[in-house]
Amino acid sequence: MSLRVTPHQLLSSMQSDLTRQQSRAADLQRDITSGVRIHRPSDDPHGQEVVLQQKAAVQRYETQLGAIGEARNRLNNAQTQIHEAQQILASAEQIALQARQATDPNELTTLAGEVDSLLQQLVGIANAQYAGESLFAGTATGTAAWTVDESGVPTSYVGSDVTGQILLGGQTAIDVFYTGEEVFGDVARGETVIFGQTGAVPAAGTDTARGSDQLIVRHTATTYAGTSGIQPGTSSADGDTVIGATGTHQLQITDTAGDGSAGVVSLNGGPEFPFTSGDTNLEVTGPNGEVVYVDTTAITAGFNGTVDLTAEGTLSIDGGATEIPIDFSASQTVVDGNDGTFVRLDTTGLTRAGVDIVEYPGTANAFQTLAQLRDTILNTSNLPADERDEQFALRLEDLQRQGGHMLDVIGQQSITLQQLDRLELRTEDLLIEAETVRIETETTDFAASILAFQEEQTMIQYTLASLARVYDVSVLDFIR
Amino acid sequence: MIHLNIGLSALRASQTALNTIANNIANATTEGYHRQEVLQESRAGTIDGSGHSVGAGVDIKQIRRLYDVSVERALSANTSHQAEADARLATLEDIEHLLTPATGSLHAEISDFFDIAEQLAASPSDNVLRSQFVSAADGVVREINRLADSFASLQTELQDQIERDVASVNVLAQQIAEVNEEIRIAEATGTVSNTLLDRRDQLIGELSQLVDVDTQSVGDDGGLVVAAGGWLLIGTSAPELQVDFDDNGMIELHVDSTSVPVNLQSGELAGLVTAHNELVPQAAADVTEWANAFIQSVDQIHATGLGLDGPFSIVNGTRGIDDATLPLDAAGTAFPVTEGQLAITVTEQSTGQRTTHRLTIDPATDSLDDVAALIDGIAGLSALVEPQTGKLTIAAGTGFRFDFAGHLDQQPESSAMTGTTVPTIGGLFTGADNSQWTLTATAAGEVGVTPGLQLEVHNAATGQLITTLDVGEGYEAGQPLEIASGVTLSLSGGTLDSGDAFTVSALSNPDETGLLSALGMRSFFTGTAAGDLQVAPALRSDPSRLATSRSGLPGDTSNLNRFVQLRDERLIGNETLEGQLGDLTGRAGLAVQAVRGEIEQLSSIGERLQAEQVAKSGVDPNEELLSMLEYQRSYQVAARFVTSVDQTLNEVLSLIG
Repeated sequence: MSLRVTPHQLLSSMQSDLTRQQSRAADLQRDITSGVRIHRPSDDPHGQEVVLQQKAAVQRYETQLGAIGEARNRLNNAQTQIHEAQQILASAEQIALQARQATDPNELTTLAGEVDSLLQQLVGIANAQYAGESLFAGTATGTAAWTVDESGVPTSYVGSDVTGQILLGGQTAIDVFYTGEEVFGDVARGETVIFGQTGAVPAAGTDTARGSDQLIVRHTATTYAGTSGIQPGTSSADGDTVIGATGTHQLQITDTAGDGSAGVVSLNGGPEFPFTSGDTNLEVTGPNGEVVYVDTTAITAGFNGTVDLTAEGTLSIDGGATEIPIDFSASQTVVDGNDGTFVRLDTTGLTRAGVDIVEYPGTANAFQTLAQLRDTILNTSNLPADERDEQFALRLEDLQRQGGHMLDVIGQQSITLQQLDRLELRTEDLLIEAETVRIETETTDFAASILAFQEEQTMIQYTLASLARVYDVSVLDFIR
Repeated sequence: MIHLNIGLSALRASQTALNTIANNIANATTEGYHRQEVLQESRAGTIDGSGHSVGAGVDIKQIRRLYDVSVERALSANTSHQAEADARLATLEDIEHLLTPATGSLHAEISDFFDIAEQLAASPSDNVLRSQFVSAADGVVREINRLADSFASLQTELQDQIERDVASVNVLAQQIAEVNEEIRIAEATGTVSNTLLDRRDQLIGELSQLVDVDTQSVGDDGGLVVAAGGWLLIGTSAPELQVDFDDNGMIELHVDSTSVPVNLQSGELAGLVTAHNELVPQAAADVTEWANAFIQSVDQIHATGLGLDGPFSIVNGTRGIDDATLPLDAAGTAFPVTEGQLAITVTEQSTGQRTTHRLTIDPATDSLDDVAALIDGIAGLSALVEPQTGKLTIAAGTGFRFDFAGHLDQQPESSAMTGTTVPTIGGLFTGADNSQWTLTATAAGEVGVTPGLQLEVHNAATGQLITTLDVGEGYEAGQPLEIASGVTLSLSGGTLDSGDAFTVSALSNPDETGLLSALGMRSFFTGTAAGDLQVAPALRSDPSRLATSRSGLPGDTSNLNRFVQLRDERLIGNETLEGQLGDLTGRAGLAVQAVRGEIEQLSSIGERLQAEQVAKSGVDPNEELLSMLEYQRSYQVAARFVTSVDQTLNEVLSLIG
């Protein structure tokens, strides 16, 4: 059954249709003019969520690209600095080779000055900053990495021992702030080497002392075995240079008078020294320059023979501040009272007091290496030529080791930079992908929207036209 | 005998019909008007002189309203449902508007917050970025507070509108009662005016816009109108609807002084009450839940980190509890506290020696006073709960500082060791979970000397072998060896005996309990999402206090990384903070879309019902014109009849005259 339709109903129905069409047309027009199809969440709730996710992702990727750029700048800067440092060490190596052959004191002084200059440059690099942050202080970026003594030589590392990292994308940690120890610190401990005449040799085990030390072997007391009647002279404690367990050194006594009042005495088969019963502090020198002071006032009458000496002493590697009695064992630990580090020594072969140079190859940092080179060039330890040459060899090894290590660090940084490049490419890809999804989801499909808009316009025209036609017909027109 | 009365009756009937038509045409566009029609009936015939029965003319039996009860009832119900949906839609659109992403919206601010965190993580010493980070947090806070205020305003507006609607309902109910009274009187006098009935229907229609009206009330001329879920009974008098509030501030409607709340089925008022009691509180609760998750997480991270100012001398809690003597579960903490350990590290300033103390807290049994007592028992610390505010204060003694960053113990517990070497722990723990390892010497020997001397590292919880450390020949005493996840061990020169063991603990989460954020200890924010939220003033004035590290060093981004990682943590349900916000927005959009669909459907049904109603009751001027012509002609014919009768009678009279 067809419904009865009144003109009022017709009009209101058409008005309702018209309102809907105009509303749709207005929405389409807004989409077209703004270029965006989602203006509020209800336009497309899922699409809105996607847009939000992608917008956040785009923003985040842009931030990450910025962070990658920042990390790259720091690493490039650090790499340049380390490369400079490596060049400095290479220059020092050339100087060392030159100095090894040089004999002219003036030339040596000049070369030592050049090393000093290189050292100052290296200090500048080690405390270099980027954007106000120390490059080589680990996480302690706010302070200089190395403290410097009055002569400008770095004394200790005061940065952090933790490498500063930045986190990219919430997942990838990148080492950016290297610690000073990582770059300029020691590389790999080698076998301890001792230069000197005391007879101390490195013992088994790993030492902890670093760089180099002066090993002071000090004589404290000499005692004589047997019944010869010989006694330490008044200068024995401070003047004897012999060190050794019983029997290491020997005195040969010949009582020429037969009553102990006169005779000759020699040390370790060295030259004979005449004595009388009036000598309380007779200096007796051995074949290698070793010295003992003896008291011959009570030589046993008729004594002719050999007397074993026991020469006690102490060891120190901190300038005498901490002295350790020599126990003539295969492994004796000598501690540096300043920092608690130690060296293990085999003291079984100790024969004389004196000062040895103990070198700990591979444990000197780059600054110590240069400072040591300077000292070697100037031969501050007054080493004989062969030992000085050996020391040069150690310096060169250290320089090469340090230089090689810096190249390793540069290599690590290069790998990190490559990682950053890959990360950057990946982030850029993700950025483009996110942006594409956002655009596809959020922006207007112009072709579809314009066609739909045109359709709505046509519909509006039809509606208005049909309304006008239908409403135009009335019975009134036919009543006269 | 020709009867003039027949003609007269025809004239009268036509006249009445024409009047009815005129009235229909006049009210063709009147809202609520039902067209009327004249029902005629022929008068009973009389026997004329020839013995035949002749009709006596015509009478108007009734002027009838054209009215389809079932359609009118359906239309009333549809109107009511549509009004209810319209009211809900308006509120949902408001909520949608509040959650619509735009520049400066919560979505933008939270993204900025995390973006700047990532930027700062790349340049941790940049003071400008530090300030920007704090400022970005301020932006998030501003939006959280703005949303809280907006929801509160929305509820106030809804309350006002509900009160206005209730007043309108009462006015309409009163008017209906008056019309009912008039109809009752009219019924008593025998004639009920169609206008009165239309008026009554019109009022009921208006009432159904506001509250549900029992469909049986529609078209029941002059009867009882049952509305508002059956609670509003309108006869010749009307009860009053009242607005009340329950203990939670939710609106309840009551009729007169009854205590049982009215349960509205439909109508604008039902929609408004739903919006006020459910939609807005739910949206506000969703945002509050989101905000609390954000605040708690950020505060927790911040509390367990260190700023450039390093460890603290005093920390004042900014969030109090109701009763410091009650177990924390029942004490009214701002955020829930869970069972676990809280680590407090005390640093002796003169030596730099750090000692981490682990307090085990069970919120089911421990009160804040108990916690304060535990902290008070730590050497170098004192703790106090302010009785009035329920806030905790921790202070360090002279020469001490403390923090909650969960540092590694420099000296592990090694009292059971018989060897002479001293273990020292260092490094920075990078693991994701709290960890504990047991290190055991596999043989006796001298550190750095004995070949093959090793320490086995086992996971203390599972016993799993993690790694083996060579500490004999080749190891340099004092040099760090990595145990796991950035934690290092160094041994001094000395000896190890076979079986010598010690335990190393590393904390990823120094506060498993969440107590620090619950009490606002060294927190990023003060207040809660309830409306008093702000960035901690001390942080705002001095961004160097921003806890970006766990060591206090500017290049240490370990804590900052936790802020960055927070972005990807699924904190609420299975969603990240940004995801959840997008979800809330999407849900708001979906709700609007759903109600729009509902309204569209109701509207479509309404249009159909309207068409049916108009088909029955609407005035068609063309139709009326045609009827008018018919009655006009009828009137003309009747008049001619009377004229003819008159002429005929005159003819008869002329015969007499």
